[in-house]
Amino acid sequence: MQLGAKGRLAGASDSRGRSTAAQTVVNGALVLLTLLWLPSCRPTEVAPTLHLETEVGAAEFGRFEAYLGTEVASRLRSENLSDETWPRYFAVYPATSAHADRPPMLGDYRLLADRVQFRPAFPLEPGTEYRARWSSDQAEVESTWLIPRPATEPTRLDAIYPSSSRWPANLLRIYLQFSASMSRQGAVESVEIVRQDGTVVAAPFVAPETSLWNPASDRLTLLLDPGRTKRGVGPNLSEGPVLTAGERYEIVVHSSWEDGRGRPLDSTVRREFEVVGPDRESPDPDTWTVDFPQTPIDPLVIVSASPLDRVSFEHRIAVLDRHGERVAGLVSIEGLETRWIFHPRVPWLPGQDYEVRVSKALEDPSGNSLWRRFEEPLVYPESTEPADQSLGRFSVRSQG
Amino acid sequence: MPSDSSSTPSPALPVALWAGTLVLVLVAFFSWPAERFAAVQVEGESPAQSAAIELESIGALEFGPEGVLFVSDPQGAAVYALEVPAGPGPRLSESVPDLDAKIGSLLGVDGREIYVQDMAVDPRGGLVYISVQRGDGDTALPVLLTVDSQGTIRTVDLATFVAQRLDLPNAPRAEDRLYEWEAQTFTVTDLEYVDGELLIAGLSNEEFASVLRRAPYPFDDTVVTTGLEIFHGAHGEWETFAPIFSFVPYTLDGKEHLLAAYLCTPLVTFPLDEVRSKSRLRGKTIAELGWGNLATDILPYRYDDEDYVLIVNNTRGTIKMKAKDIAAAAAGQGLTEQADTRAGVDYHTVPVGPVLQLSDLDSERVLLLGRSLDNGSLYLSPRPKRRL
Repeated sequence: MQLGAKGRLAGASDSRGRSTAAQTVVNGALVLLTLLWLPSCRPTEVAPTLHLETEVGAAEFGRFEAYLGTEVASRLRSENLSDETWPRYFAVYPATSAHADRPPMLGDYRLLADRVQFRPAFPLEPGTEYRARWSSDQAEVESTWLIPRPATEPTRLDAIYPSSSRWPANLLRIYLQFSASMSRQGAVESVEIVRQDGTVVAAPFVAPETSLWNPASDRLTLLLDPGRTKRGVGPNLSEGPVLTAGERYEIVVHSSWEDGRGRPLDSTVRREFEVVGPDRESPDPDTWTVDFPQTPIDPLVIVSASPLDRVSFEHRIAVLDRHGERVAGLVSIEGLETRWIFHPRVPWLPGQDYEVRVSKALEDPSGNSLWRRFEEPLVYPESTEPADQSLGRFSVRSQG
Repeated sequence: MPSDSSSTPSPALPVALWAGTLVLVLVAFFSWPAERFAAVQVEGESPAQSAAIELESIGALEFGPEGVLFVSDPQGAAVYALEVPAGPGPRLSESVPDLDAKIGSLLGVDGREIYVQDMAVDPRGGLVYISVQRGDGDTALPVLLTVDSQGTIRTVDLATFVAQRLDLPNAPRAEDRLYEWEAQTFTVTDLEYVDGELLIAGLSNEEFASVLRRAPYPFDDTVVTTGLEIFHGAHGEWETFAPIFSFVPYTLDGKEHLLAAYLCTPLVTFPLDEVRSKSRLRGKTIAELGWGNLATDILPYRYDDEDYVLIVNNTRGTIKMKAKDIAAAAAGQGLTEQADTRAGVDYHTVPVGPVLQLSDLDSERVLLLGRSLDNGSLYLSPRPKRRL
């Protein structure tokens, strides 16, 4: 359905009872007669025509109008109708809301010389059909309009983290990175972990409906049920862990999942992975290789022997300038989440001291942080322990 | 970039001026209130101020003192406190069927596009507040609604309120703010107001830790954190640090505690004074409610001179515990043996069907927001406590 500037959405009119075309003519004649011969009587009402007026290119900001003619409009003016009482004549509903006990949509009514306008309090929802109804003693008419969804490219699943095809048996977190914003609902039905024999792992994720989405709604964090990965805990005993070392699985993200505009994903994505033994140790920054830049345009590269949590790795390492302020730049994560590559936004200043620090909150894919392991023997970490540690200082020489 | 010379003090600056500055700094240092130094757990600047309410999303609701309604905005990482007028009249006495369809009709979407987030009953007049998300994806909108004693649904026009706003800093510790915490999501899962303080539980998408945030109300500029750890369902040797999902203030042996349900699903008690005085605390696990489950709501209530606790589970039904059984378990050592699906405090499932939210309505009734087994629609229904 095309919408032009100030476009009118074509309505499917369903005039009932006294408002057939033939009767409209008859009614019109009656109005004429009434006006000519019986000026003191109340004008007979003609069934109004209903329209949906929309703003430029944005169907969701529309207003519904009933063209009444000046006579009827003038009579209604004397009734002093309010936003609460107008719906007895003119009401708008989502088309699925057919029951008599459904309240009409909230909004503002405005009576003009020849028509009444209804502006909904909430934007119209793309993909939803609306029904406007005029109802009075003498006329009843209704129309429906479907608000089109905007035409956009289908959204893709761009990446599944961990990127490695070998996942630890006690994996805590999976990230799904999409090309555009997604519906925050539907993860429960749309993501499956399937064994080689085709059976589906039951309830692998905890609280997927809790919306661990990033602010842009294009990255979802899924937590594998931690009760099933911990040793000796109820779920682990009765159901077994979600993933078993030595087995092969497939993670399946179904295309039926809707994106932020209510459209399905472009395709179903399947990725195979093999499960290796559990990782129960904290990452150890002392074993990392730090490749400090030598010239103002060199990147800073940190390499970990084992994969780290994709998002944690990206955010929990900082380069500080000599004032202790974080240096702005672009981080990229490569090598199956083992390489952290940092390009400063402006070249390194020759002769100036920089320091690389890592937060103790940095985690590996199994939820072991620098601070503590996911499962810890019964001791408290010292609360005075520093929250981060240095990975070294550097300065670069002038280029050439 | 400033050149090096710009930040170097002029050698001509008189020594006397430097000495004077040093004295002033020392005086300021020692006259600063001691509690400023003690607040080592302060999460950071969180300037609370009167602000227009601009919700990016809507989640947990909680009534505080005298008509103050706390409204959380998980995506906006904020909690608002607004003073709502006392709703008049009697409390809801009849069920409201097809709640989602009716709300959808008012807001202009199909009932399936209404996602209920939380419910709170104004303890003064019984007016029911419900937070919903209308629609999903890019067009999702947060809406706060009321349901009066006649079952009439209205929207709350948040533009007419001036509220106090509390920003929830994402970084758990002040020193962590060197790092990029802005991208982290902290989803508020429960709010409780206790003795001048708002307690906030939530999940983070990047750090799997149990951190309870506490903010004095009226809000000032502080959010304090306490790490709440548990001896998870008796695995003898190991402790873990799963996040709290829902919790409630609860009196045990005359002393204020928190009764908290963790992810999948240990039930744990913490003495409130220790929550306030320590930065890390290990709770006592008194029950295991089963794997693959979340406790979405906990409601202590009193009926016929006996105290009970109702716990709404998302997959394991709504259960009822006797307060005296909870007290007995809390007086013991807690769970230390290997636990399977169910262990600890005895409980039974109450005959209410699927429940999303639960609130105390009055001395005789609780209010259920449930899902009909007939047609899957949502309903609101007052239930006599004697039938639970």
